[in-house]
Amino acid sequence: MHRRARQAAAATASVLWLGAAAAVPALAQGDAPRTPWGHPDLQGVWDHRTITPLERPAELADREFLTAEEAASLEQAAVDRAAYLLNRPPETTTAGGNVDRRADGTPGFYNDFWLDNGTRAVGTRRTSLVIDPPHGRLPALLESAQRRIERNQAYRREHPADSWLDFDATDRCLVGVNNGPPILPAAYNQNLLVVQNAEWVLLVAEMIHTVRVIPLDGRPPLPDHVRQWAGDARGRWEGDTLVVETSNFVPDRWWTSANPMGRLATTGSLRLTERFTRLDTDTLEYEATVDDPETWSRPWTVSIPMRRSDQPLYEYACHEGNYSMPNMLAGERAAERAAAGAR
Amino acid sequence: MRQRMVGSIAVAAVLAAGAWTAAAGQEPSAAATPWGDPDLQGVWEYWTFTPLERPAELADRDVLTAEEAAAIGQRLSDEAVGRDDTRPAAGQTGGYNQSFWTERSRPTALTQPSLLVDPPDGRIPPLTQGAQRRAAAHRAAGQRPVRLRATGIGADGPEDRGLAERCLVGFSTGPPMLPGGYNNNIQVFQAPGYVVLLAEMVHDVRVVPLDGRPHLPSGIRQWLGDSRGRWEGDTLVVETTNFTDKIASFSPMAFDRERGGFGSLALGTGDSLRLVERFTRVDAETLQYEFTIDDPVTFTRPLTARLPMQRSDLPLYEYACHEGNYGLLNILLGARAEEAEQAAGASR
Repeated sequence: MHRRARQAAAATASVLWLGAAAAVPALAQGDAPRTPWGHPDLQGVWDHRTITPLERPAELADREFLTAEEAASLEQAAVDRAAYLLNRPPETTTAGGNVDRRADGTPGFYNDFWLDNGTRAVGTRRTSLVIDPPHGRLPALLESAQRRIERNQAYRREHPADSWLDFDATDRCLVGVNNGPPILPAAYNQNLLVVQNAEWVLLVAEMIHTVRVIPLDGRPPLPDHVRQWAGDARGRWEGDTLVVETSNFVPDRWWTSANPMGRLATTGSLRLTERFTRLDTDTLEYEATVDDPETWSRPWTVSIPMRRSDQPLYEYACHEGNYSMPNMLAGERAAERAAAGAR
Repeated sequence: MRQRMVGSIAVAAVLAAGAWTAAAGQEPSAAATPWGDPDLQGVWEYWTFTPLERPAELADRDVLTAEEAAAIGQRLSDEAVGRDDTRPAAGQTGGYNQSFWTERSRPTALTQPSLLVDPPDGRIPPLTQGAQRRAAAHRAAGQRPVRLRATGIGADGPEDRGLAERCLVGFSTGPPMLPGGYNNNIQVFQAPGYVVLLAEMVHDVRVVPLDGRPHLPSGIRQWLGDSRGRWEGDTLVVETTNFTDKIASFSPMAFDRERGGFGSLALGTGDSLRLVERFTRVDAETLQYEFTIDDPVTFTRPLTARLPMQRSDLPLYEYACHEGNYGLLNILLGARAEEAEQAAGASR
């Protein structure tokens, strides 16, 4: 990972912005590679890193696309930032109690070596990953959802770390921070391996090495009461697009705090529709429509064009060698003792 | 796990109709993928009471009759279920209810007296002198890192516990696969250039390329190693190297000659292991699985086990390891409570 991140950073820095010409994919879908049995060939490793934000920034409220110059300038800024972070002197921490602290008293965090959002905006130059609603932002929350979320947030403020159950499913290593489903870029290990045959498609995420097994044979979904973190997926081909519909998600699915969908904790009514289209040799277009009629006033859709990678996936470690969860809980207990002692 | 058993009853009828019609009514040896590889696909189940090593009382038997095998399976199943670990003896915490959580209510045993078929006596071969020395040094140094799958060496911290208790790897999924408590299922998928082996336990997946690409550089070490596959006739041969030295070369549940009891073993270290697995579809219902532990640093000779897997019509479900599982925490809390009691007793 480590090595690849470095290599990837170097590679993107030297080959800056090749796609400036194309606001619309150049190849017709019929040009995409095909399997021997005639389905579009989606196989390979796909990289879904991007610096394009999920929601459209306020200052671009009326802009669906960046110009080629704006996109190039954003990417150059990302390259410059990566170079700065790589070359600046390391932050030092000093030992204090149980926690090493920085000069400002806060504990340290990942350095930029660990984080890998890439340096590229999406090839379409859209200003957000959200393409529907057309304003590029998530739709309004239902009033009932707003109340539910406020209750959840109030509880979390009161109980930030009573137990590991007070952390999201990503911190608990139950699901990946960026592969939900749906896939929403974040952090690192942003790679998806697709393996397919005529009856099945497998989506292997590098993050937490989660694999989704998607039957294409039209079998009925699992009974309603069987609920899973990754839901229960069924796939079918619509023309050259693989459509995957997923239901049977666990209710109150607080899967990550890295994006609004994960933070809000969707309900058991969540239905996810994902579309995978191989636009050309190097591009797998990914669209995900999130429909939770108990949370949002309408469905919303993201578009993430993934880029082909020649690198393999590696094994992922989540809890292994990771002492953050016990340290967060121990820190909270220490803070409680300190507060009790101060009274 | 629990959902699997209960849910599977409800959905079996529905799913049986859909997914597996292709296998029905075909001459199995002719089953091939559209691109011409032998078709190994489906869910395969590998629970059996047949032990890894040949029991002493069967030392002179290379094969059992079907009746003998059935009787052995029934006896071991009755014993396990009759033990009912939910009503433990005084001072014991008890364990799984055997008839519900584990596969032991299913009296399945093979006519081969042990899973090991080579060496011919069906016993794990002796360790090399070097491996014995390293094992002694590892014990003397406190036995960390813990390479056992189940159990552990103590309860000072999570890293004293076995790798499966820490949810890093499954205790029955290897590689290589060996029958264990539950979730003894793999699903095999094939695509041109790939075979995918998905274990239900810990939902570990191995994506095995068949294109002859070289192994990862030797500096990259993984829990599941690095697998490459090829066809030898109708047999899929998967060769796996690049295992981490944090895992044992072979870690079965078997008789521990040092302790004189049945338990979790951790023999050698994975960094010197070359694992060779062979999958052959011998008929519509059976996938023959064979593996060879080739590790001359650890063993005085290679060892090979054979295990027929049975086709299953049930789907795999999501597996939860830590989720809702307070076992590891309670083991550590129990040890802390005992220490506190002892400290209180000593200070009185």
